[in-house]
Amino acid sequence: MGDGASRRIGLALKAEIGKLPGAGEVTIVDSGGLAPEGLVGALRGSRAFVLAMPLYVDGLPSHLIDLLEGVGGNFPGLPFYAVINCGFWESDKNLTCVETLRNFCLESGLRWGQALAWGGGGMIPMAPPLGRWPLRGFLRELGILAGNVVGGASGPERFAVPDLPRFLYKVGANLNWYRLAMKNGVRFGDLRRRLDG
Amino acid sequence: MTGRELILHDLGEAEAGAYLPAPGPGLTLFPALPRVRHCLGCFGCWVRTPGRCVINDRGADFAPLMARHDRLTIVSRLVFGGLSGPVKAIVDRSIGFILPFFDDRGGRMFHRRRYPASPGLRYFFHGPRFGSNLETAGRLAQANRLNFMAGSCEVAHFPDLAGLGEALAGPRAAPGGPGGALEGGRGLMASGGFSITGGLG
Repeated sequence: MGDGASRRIGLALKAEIGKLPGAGEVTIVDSGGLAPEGLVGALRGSRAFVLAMPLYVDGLPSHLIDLLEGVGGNFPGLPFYAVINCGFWESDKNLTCVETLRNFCLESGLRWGQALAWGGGGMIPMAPPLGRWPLRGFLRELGILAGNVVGGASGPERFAVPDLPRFLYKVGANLNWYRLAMKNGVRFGDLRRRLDG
Repeated sequence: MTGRELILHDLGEAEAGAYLPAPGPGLTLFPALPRVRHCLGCFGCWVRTPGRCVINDRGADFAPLMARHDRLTIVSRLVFGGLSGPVKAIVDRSIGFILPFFDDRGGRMFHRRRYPASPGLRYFFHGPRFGSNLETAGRLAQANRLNFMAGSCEVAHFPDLAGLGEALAGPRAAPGGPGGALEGGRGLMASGGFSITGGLG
């Protein structure tokens, strides 16, 4: 979990899982400030491990790397699922990270379940709830994932982007940086400042 | 002008002293240990303190340092096909090196460059390999090269640090371009492109 988008995704997935018979309890654990022992403790007795995360420089956020290393060989056969979102439009930019997580499963003995790879993730903290335009498709995807999580099933990677034209997302994203600069009292010209002097 | 090299590494003090070249004119060492705070994902490096991470520790120095060097060599333990946690903490906090604004290149979305040039990239992984980890690392490096707009990217794996030390003792980076070929024919030279070599050392 961690960032605004991941938290929203985690909560929405929890709700989707809760709709299904035989779902059992869903515990959401925030990775921020979590020690590796904390994750191991949270996973004990779990039927599945679902990770919702933002893509960081094409890969795992650093604190997640430590947490996953701490899993070690403690949970052989535990099904693992992931929802990865990135700010780029192209959802396949998450694929190298999916590979990294598959490697994690292989090394740790977890059973690979499924990964959802989402582009246009910049909209998730800001837009209407998942399930309403333009993020309707994302909730559908979470429903599919929820079914596999509850059933202990595996599935192929699935990709999704917001339901709006790509150029509109790009224009909106670029304008949003100016909005945030204004909010922080940063002059627009200073956004491009260089520190190599 | 001689090339300026920046080495980001996750070696301990004793290992760094034994296997890394000594810093000096044209060579900067940046240890990932003791580790810095991890990235908060706040985008403050783009919209609060542009170009520099908002967290006030030495991790904030790295993005501006990248801009002052011709080549960046990342020395990292190979973890699941990617970087170790301490190294990744530095890399995560270096996105201030580029701008937040999106542009299209080759029909795909990327961030715009902040600086006129990017250092060439080298990824020197050490420690045991597992499965297809090195292949994944190669794809990660290639993705990084595209995002940071580096002119070149090389990836190599060293099962032991002695081999790593020999590779790092090679010629320095040429200004504005990739590094030279390594001695002993164990080169992993790529000019304006990408190469990956495993099993050195």
